[in-house]
Amino acid sequence: MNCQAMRGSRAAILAAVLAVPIAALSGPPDAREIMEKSYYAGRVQDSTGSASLVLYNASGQKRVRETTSVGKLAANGKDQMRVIRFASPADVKGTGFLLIEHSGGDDDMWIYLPALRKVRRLVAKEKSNSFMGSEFSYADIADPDVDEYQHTLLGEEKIEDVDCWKIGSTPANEKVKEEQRYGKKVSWIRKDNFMAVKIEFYDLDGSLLKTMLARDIKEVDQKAHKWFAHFREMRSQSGRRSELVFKNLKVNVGVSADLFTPQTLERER
Amino acid sequence: MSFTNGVLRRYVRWVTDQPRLVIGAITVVAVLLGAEIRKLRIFLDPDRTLPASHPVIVLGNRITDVFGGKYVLLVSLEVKQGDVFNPTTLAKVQRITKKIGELPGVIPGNLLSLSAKNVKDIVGSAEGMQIDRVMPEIPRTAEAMEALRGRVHGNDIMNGLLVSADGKMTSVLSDYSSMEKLGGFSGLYRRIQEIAAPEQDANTEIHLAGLPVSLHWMGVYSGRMRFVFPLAMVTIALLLFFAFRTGQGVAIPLLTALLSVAWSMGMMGLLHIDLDPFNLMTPILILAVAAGHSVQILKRYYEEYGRLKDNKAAVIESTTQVGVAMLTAGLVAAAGFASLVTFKTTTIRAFGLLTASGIVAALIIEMTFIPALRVLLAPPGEEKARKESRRTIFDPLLEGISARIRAGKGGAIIGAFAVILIAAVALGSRVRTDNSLSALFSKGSPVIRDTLANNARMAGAYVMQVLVEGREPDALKDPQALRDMEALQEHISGLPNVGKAISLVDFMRKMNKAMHADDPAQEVLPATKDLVAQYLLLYSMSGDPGDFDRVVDFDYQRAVITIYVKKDNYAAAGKLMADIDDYVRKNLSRSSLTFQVGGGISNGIALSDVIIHGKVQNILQVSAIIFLAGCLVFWSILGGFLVLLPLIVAVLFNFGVMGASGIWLSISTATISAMALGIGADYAIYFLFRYREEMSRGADWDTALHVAMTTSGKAVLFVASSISLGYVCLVFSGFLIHIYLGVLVPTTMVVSSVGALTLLPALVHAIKPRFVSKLAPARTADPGASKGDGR
Repeated sequence: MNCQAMRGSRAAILAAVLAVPIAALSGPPDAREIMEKSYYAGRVQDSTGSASLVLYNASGQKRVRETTSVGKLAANGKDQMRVIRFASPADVKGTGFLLIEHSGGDDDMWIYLPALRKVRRLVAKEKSNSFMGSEFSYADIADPDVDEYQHTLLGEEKIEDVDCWKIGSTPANEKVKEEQRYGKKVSWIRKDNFMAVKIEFYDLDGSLLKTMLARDIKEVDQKAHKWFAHFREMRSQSGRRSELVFKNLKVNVGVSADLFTPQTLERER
Repeated sequence: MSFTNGVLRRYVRWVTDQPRLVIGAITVVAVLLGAEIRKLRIFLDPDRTLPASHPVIVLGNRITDVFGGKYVLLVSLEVKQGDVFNPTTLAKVQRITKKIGELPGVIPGNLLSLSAKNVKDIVGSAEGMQIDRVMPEIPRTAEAMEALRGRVHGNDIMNGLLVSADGKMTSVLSDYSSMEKLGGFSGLYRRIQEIAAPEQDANTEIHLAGLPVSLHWMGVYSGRMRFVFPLAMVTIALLLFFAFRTGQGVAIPLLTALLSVAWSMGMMGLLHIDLDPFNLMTPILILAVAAGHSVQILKRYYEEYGRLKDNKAAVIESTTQVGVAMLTAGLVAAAGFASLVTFKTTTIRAFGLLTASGIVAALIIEMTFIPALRVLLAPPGEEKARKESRRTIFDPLLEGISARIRAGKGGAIIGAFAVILIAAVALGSRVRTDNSLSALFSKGSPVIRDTLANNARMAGAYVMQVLVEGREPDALKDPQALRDMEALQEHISGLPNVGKAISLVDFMRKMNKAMHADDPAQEVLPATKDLVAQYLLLYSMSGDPGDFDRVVDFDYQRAVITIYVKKDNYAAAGKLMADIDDYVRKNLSRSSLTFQVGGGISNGIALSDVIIHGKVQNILQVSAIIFLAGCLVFWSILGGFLVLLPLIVAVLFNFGVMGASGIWLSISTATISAMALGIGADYAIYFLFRYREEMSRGADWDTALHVAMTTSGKAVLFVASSISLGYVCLVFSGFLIHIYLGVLVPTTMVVSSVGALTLLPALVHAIKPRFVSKLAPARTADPGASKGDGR
């Protein structure tokens, strides 16, 4: 091997070594960052709207519940406050539900039963509990804090022709594991708007429990670039599935914080 | 007859001319069929045993499709010191619950224990209510432990079901949609043992109970037939030796019997017909029938050899003469049993096929392999022949009976039998038709000990369900409907044998109480439909969507009342069913709901219902065919009746013994009674054929009677006594089915042989039927009979 050739190969090695950090700089952001962007991409100041909750059992029978809902972000910009009221079926019409999230603590929940004319505080410690009898749990509805999970970028994939990051998340600590009862989650986050379009939930033993699909994702706040999935579906391995279909969504309408008290829950029926 | 005799004689001569070819061919078939036994599966699936159209099964399937509850299994932990509210025991519950929850086929919503995810406590306070797992984690402090104890004991749903009233026992209840992935009941039992056994320690005793456990043990005990069968064989061998005093006298009947059992079992394997534990007793019947035929020919062989002093001639003569009777008796019985394939119940069909093929196998072997083998074997020497023909205790007995009948004292015998039969019928009418899996096990067996220990403290190891159904969706939100359900549930709770009844009603009352700040006066059903609906919605916010699946369906149209009962027997469960139906008819006929009892052990009720009635029906069917065949063979209705007679005597006597001793008419005992038919008819046919043969040789009624009694009759006694005594040793087995076999098979043997050797000859002698005597002129027309005409 002559001298020149040797110099040439050294240059190639040098170039290769230098190229690594350069590629990293222009490459994908880290997984946590993606998840954080995703967390805030769907958080609007406040919103009103209605939603149909459609529950299917394993043999395909269907139960529909119509609700109206008002939501507002708490002062910390993270926690949500939400009032959900049932419009149908007739026998539960007027039933109200107030949820106030406390990141890092137990959420507050109140229920108003019109047939009893009473508001009762609901103490449910487990965020893995079903949301309104659906396949969604409370933890699924209210996106958990980014740092409750540790995230790893698993790759890039297309979901319904849209480029996504594929991210694996495992509970950051035992408490999260116990509360949410997930051993692992795999999320597909759209590269263009950071909205999750698909999430797989695995149980503590690593077997697939359910799969969430989000569709009909629209930008609801052009200024702040906030997006909202109007159709969400949760398919359970048990064969049951639930759909959440949002209608008439309005954001940043100036919802008053006074709405989110047990007293209002009882009054505003 | 003469024609048949001639053909048969030519055939037997052909066999004895090429014994090696025949033995070779039969050995090849035996090996090929024997290899098929590998494919034979012993399998108990109560579903497949039943006709799917049985109303109880239809209902049971409807209930289990929606709510489960078919295969409830209990793992109960009993502590010796203190109570179960300590971290060690609760950790065991937690581990067992978790591991059972991971088993394939487990119904997650029906997994119940203190730590199960969907076992919730509903507690109210002044400002709120809490619906939470009873024990999300093991209490770490004494106060938390005390609080848990209070919660559990204060909760009607859990008290007695998950923890005993005295706190000494706690249960993990699991339920399975299918046993397939678990490897059947034994597979499930093994998995549960693997989970539960490590949790047993000095302070903790673990009891496994419930239907799957009983079914597992039934399989285990049935498998003991493997040991019981050879034991019976050895005993029979000893008795045959005592009777014949020669090696051949032992080897030939046993060889025929074993080959027949192997052939018929191989046939079942070849046809892919599964055997259930009840049919595992059938080889014993085949053993008895095959040995019986063999002894008849063997006895005649010694008789002919003694007369002809020529081995081959004796083989041909005995096989020909007895062959006709054997083929007749065998084919009649085989036809009777084969007719059982018309039954819808697979277990009875398998019984019919197995028995029929076993009998046919015995006939084939006796007509091929045995004569071929015998011409190759050395003929009995002087010494052996003398030993064989030596008088036994049977001779004076038979001669005595013969003498009495000839002396005209047959009327006394007939009279005695009439009295015995009247008594048997009277006692037989007291037979209790009942059935239970647990009754198959003796008191000291692990399954009974575990079940009793469990039932002493808990609600009961067995489940029955009431399907509550409304006319349209949401019917169960109607408070009046719920009140009807409540009334029925309360009535059921007060019935004997019921440990606990649980339904949606309990949850509704509990929620109402919690929403009224835990005021005990408010533990009542909600007053309006809206409130019911709102409670249901509220509950659905506090758990898994599947939490209520075990009490109410998706549409709120159907619900179930789950009844935990302590006994699994047919009569007790049937009474419970009748009682519930009666209450519904009298008090809830105007309800908007319908109430039907089914599921759980009521499937077992249907099982015994079908099998017991099926067996009784098959006794009648086989009897009818034997009667018809008897009529045809002897061309006489009286002939048909006489063939049937010892058999009827045996069956009736059997029922009499059961009535007197309190043995239930159950699946197993009905099977034994049906088996009696296969044996009873043979004795009569052999006796009648010999009687007729002697008459055809010109003997008078008295002489023919005497010869038939001391030859064919003696062979009958040999067979009956050896097989009876062989089976008496089963009485020492731990499994009640075997004990029943040990009592009832010998009874059948003794009674049918005594009937064939006393009542039958007495009647024949008294009636002097034409079908016995009319063949007399035939002897001159029978060219083949010349050799045998030497007397």
